[in-house]
Amino acid sequence: MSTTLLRELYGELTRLYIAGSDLAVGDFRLKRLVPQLLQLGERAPVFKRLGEGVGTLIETAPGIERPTAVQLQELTLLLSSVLHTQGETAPSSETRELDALPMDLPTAFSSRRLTEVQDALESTGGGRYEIITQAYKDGLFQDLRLLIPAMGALNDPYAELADYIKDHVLPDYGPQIIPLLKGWLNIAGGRSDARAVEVIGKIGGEEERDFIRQAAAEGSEPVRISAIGYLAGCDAYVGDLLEWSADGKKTIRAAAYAALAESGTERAQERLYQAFSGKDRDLAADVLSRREHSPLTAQLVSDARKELEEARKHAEAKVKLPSIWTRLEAYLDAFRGKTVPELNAFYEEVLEEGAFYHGLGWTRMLHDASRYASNQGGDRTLALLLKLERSHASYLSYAFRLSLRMRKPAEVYEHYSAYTKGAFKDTLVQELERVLYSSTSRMYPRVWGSGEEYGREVRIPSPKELADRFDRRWLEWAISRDAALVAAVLSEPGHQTATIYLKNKFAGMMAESEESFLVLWEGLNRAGVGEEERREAIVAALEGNQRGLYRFDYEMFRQLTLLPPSYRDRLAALKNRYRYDAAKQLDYIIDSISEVQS
Amino acid sequence: MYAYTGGREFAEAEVPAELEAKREKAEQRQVQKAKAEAEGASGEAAKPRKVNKSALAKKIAAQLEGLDLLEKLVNALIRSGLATVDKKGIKHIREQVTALGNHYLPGAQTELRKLALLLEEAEGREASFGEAVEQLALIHALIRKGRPYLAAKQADPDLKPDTESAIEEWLGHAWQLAELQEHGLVQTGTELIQLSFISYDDAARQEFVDAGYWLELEGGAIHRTMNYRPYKAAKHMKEEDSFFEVATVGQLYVYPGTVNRRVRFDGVTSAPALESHLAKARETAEPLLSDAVKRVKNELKNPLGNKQPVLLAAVESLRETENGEIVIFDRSGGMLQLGDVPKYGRGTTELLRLLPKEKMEGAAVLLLFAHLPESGRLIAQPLSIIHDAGIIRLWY
Repeated sequence: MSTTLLRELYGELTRLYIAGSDLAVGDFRLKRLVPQLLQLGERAPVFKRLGEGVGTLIETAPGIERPTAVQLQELTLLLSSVLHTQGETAPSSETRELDALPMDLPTAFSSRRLTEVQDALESTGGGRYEIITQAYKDGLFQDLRLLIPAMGALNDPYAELADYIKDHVLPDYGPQIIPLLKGWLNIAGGRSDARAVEVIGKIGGEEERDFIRQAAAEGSEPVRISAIGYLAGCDAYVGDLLEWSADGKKTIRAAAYAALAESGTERAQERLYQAFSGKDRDLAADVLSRREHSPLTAQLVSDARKELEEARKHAEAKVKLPSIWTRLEAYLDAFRGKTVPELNAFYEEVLEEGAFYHGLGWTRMLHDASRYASNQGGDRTLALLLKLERSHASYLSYAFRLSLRMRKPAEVYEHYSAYTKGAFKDTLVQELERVLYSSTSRMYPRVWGSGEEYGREVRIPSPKELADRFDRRWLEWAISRDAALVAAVLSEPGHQTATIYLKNKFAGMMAESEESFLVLWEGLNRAGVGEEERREAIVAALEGNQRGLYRFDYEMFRQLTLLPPSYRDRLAALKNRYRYDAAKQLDYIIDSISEVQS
Repeated sequence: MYAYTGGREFAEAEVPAELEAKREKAEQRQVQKAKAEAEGASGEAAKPRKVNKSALAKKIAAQLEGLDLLEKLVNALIRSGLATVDKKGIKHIREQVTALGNHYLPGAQTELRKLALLLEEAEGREASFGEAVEQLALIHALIRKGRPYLAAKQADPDLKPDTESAIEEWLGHAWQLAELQEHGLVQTGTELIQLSFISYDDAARQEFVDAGYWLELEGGAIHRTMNYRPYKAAKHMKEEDSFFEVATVGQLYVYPGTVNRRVRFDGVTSAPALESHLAKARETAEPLLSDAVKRVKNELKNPLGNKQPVLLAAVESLRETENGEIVIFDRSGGMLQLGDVPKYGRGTTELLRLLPKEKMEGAAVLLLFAHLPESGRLIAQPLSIIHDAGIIRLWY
């Protein structure tokens, strides 16, 4: 049967549907087909019927009884039926062995579970990250049908999701997906291809190193950056890395430096060292700052000391100092997180001339030095830090903390209590607060409604621990300097002034923050004020405060629920001051204390 | 429960009235069910449903009028040409969809809505009118077959509905289980195994559809379960899901139709699929691809047949063409090129590359067929593979 002729006819009929069936009358393209159809009709009757159909269609006068539309529909229906029996099923060309990448993955999950994840992987919009991470935890990605969508999600516009797929989902399939990834990715492509290269680098090991090298040499910029990272630590590729460290693109050089830093070879370290004297100083410094150790540190320290010498030499010629400082900052970056004897000496040298460098505005170096030195400890360090402290209040914390560790409480008090005003006093109060208590938050079930809510918890050392570390005179000092939270932590029973002071502060500060409430609450306890009296203080403070609260924090709320029923009327009188959550909480409190009564 | 195990005593309380009423109702239901079963068993036909003849006549007249309305609209559309249909034209078609609602022709209504959707999608691009043309021809077939059928029913109100073809469903009749039973379209104790499942959104029906393909182990027929969830009620209806066990169905109601007839279940018990079930299932596969294709084409040439028939075929081996299209071979060297059916479900063909060879060679593969007019090809998409040890599901 001549399918070509039939399909040609079908094409012509479609044209008439589009242009309008009335145009069929006298259509010469259809007319041309009639003799062929009739001729074939001699052997197969269906062609004859089609030929006749076309004949009537093109001869129909418009508007007469059987309209052209019906003729066209009739003819199309017949032709369509015939064509449906002619569908080609044979291969479009010679066949060859199937290029298969067999994976051993089951198809055991149901539609409902899979479609949710597939939709999340293939769509955009919010809420998908949770679905995908949960599916990963539930092992859904071991289903064959999620493999391809997961790979496609390397391209997700939401980078965090694409990275999750790269870091967790795909590596779990193991090396069996490498051929698939290689077929999928284009090393001249973008971020998603770079992610695919990373997966290969991560799970491919030794066998894929050549591929990674090729991607690093020939890929697009993001692909090269990803690939170079996976050549780190292989001495065979140091030559390549050295070459790329001279690349025109800064990002490629940065990746190459990072990879070279992991190599122990002299050539690699030599190149990094060279970078310090050239335009890539910041790149090299950044690479070293992220490493715990570097064989270059000692050498860099000695260079940095030369810079310090230069600085002192040109103290008067200010023009030279900015460039020295730029170089020094790179050294400081490179020293981050490292501890070597050479650095001890370097930072000591810095601290010795602390006032001088502070005068130059090189405060970052002084902070680095102070931090490093206070970690090392020692009498000499403390002396240097105490000396530096005089330059500016911002250095006070290093000396103060080291003093607390090394000196007797009375000595610490005698030195620091002298700071009675200004920035030094403020910094000191902050430091005292920082060492005297800390707070964290956690979730509690919400008793006055559904769900959970955050509440804070403070950790305050016991009076015994405090007595070992802090001089008693700090309490008086704190009261006189109006450091209420410090006074609260250090307060003791029977101290009249402290009790009065704290009660006063409680009324004013209790609603300021949950932390201040909790610290003052404990302070009153330490001053010997009983629970009932403290709860009365809360109610009194609420009554005295005209401004309503948005909500009662967790512990304040809890304490209010413990009030005796006699408080009902006083609390009810407060009701009109509160709205939102606080109103609901107050209702709950009033209800719950009434229940106790009944 | 803790208190109970802790040994505390419990006093017996009165049964609350609400609960009692529920229990009574449940009992009544049981009694009625038993009664119905007894009647069925004793061979007595259930009471024939009463038919209001004058109402029926009115309904048929309205249906015939509806078909006229549809034909007029379609003819006008074809006379002026699809290229002239603009936004206003589509709006007009949609108005007619609503108008058909008064003529008891939900099936025809769906097909007309589908035409509107296809024209909307084509957006006046000539190359995209192919599907709209197919749809117009289908509507024509529906009118041509529907009109004499309805006319015959009008002439003879006692005429039995056609249970051989799906014409009733095309016109939009929703078969009741009782009707199916009345016409003897029910089997008992049938063993079925689900081979494939998919949920999709049918915009023309304005419903979500949960479609399951089930193999009847005895006889090898492939049936379809179609769970329709109208958009408006979808929130309240349970979505079906894949079913992995062998289902023994107490009552299997089979809708009129040809290939992959729609079925509904009543009274299902299930048990894990054993190797013997799988072996039996594989045996039902069409051994020769040429025969399979013949069966499919025979169905496809019927304009109101199943346009996407599904059947199980035996596969000996797989190869690929130069363009990377996968081809399956049967034991006598017969070939069939595979490909994904466009716009329906999900692509699966490429997943075959990821399967171990031994699981495919000598297996039975469930194929979904569709004719693609543009390329003149009959395409077959693999949905599932039954091998020695299990079923690999490429859809769900």
